[in-house]
Amino acid sequence: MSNKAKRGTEILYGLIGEARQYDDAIILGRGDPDFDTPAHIIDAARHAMEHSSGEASPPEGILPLRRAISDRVARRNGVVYDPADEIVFTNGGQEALMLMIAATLAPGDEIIVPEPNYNTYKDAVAFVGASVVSVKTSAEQAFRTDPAEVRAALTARTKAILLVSPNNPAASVISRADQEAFIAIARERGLVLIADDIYDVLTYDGIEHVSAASLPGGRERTLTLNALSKTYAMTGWRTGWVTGPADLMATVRALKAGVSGPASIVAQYAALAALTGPQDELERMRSAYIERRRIVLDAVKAMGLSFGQPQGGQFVFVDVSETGMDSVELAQKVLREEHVLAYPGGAFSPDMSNFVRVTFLQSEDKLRDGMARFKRVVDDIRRTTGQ
Amino acid sequence: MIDHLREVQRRTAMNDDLSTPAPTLVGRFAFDVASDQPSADLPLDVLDGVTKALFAGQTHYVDVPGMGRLRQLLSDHLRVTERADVAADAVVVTAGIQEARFLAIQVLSETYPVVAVPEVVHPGIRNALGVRRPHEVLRLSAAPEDGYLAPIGAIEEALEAGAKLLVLETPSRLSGATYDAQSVRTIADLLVKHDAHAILDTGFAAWSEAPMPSLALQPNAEGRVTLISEALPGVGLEAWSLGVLATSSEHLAGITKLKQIMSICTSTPSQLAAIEFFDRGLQDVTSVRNSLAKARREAVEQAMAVGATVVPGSCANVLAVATIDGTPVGAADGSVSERRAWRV
Repeated sequence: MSNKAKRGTEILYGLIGEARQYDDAIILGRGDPDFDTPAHIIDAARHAMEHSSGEASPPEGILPLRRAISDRVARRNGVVYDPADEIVFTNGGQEALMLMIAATLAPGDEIIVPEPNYNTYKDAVAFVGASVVSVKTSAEQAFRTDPAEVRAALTARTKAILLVSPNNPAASVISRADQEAFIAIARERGLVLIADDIYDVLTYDGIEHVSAASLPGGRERTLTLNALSKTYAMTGWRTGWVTGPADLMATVRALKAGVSGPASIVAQYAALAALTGPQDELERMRSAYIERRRIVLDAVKAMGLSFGQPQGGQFVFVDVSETGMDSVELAQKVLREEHVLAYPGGAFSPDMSNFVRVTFLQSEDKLRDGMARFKRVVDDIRRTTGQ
Repeated sequence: MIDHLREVQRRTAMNDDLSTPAPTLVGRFAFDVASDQPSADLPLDVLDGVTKALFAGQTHYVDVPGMGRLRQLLSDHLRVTERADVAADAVVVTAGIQEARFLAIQVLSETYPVVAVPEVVHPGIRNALGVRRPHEVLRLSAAPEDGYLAPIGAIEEALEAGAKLLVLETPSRLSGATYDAQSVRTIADLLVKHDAHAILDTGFAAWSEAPMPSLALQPNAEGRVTLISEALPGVGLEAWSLGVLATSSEHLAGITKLKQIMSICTSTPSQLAAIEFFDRGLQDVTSVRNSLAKARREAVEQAMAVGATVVPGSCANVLAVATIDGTPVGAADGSVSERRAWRV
């Protein structure tokens, strides 16, 4: 199958599989931090294994956990949700996304989705029989999603707008003014805002993360997902949640019962410990990401490549058009020749085939090594092509 | 409420037309979902093993269909317990039995859009069907005198009416009744005759005191059965949400793809715990079944002593009874040995 015929997730999982062949592979692709889960979270999980393994959980999660999520969202995002009926705990952000999409869209409906985006959004929309209407963004505009472009893309079938801030893979953050504009559009047209806030604590250079639900008119029409995977290094545990107004959350809760029932009780207590326990590990990891981001940006600059200034997230979206290669082909070449895995922008959007996404989730040494290897490929292409 | 969401809510209103009917013969039954499986205290060395693995850094994403080692162990376990004979790469580790139901039903109903479901089944089946409707759902009659198993005649009628996918529980999660060998052979023949497929929930198989011939092991049914179950029922992991699904190569890619969209992978501590159980040879629950069987026999006597009607069933973990006057009662549950008695 040609790269163009493959779906985005197929391309990414294909690369992941290939990277496993190399003992010296450096993984700058998948969004899985190299940090291990903080010890106090594992200790809490162990306690739950012994004392709570027989505890039955409702599909939406145990109440203490939903209270902790409510506290966190109020503190961090400035929105108050009732733990009783406005919060559902999920098997990670991925399930949260699927539940939000299934709760909002019916077959034939459309959702506005800014490009580029993490490809499973499209998979989830396709699952429920709805359609994605793409709104393009550009590196020149720092991958900003322009509310005017969103308005222009609306049709009678539009039922929702997806807001990912910070964006994956472009790492742009939606400004307060733009969030307000999206809320105005949603109010005017009776739409639901589906917000992915999974990187909300990971913004840089003083950039502010603003949750759509926190703004006037936003709460009653916004479903928001978040998860502990990225910020607490808990990718394997599958710990996420959806928050929203009670009427929308009633459907999310019913869907959760139908899709998988309650999440693992051990994962729930681990999540509870993450949210209520000491936060110094979180701060340590966040500081590390700031330094790692600088290493990657310096390396990209040294390669003479441009990039979208990452305002948030855990990745840099690098413009590789100078190589003259399609991003998927380039990613395959870098992987095969230098055993470095970076994700091709073409897997996120056909219009982003000039970009690769480089994560900064590995140690500083690995990042330096990985970027040096990447540079060797780029330099070799330049020598070969005379560019 | 935003107007268009009413339609979404209606669509996900959990299959009203499939609602478990009130059986007319012996009264009304309720279905105890919460304690399908017996609970047990977890061995400390198992927990030590899981904790050690977590501290060693096994806290990251794993393969979408599950850890390779666990898939192999589950493949072996299904073979040893005579439920299925599938390779490890046909096994998917799921986030509990409900995700197994959901994945199997949603993926297979794309290929087989006319689905036949017994009118008395675990509510999770209706919930999974309700997330995204297949084109048509046919109801299979299920009478108390048959332990609420759909009779062969009803299955045949549904297949002749165009059903291509059967969703069956054997043993029944309400009564514990199981299909006998002749019935299983007949169902396999019907699947072949009508070029149909079956999703088979065998989550209660470990508790059956009667022989439990597996539809998945019928030679002519090879490739026509997708088996779902809790991964290790009865060892104390129910709240850890760990399920298993074994399917044919035809449907594996679709199920794995949907699993990836749903949750990327199943929670690693749960998978690690199952591996620890297998490594210690603790997956066998024969002694638990024997003690439950004794409790069940006593419960049957008590039920009959108060004039309740006992629904046929052969699983040690459940007892379905009806009150004389038709008052709604819980499914009697002898499953939770020291923590709860059977309940009405």
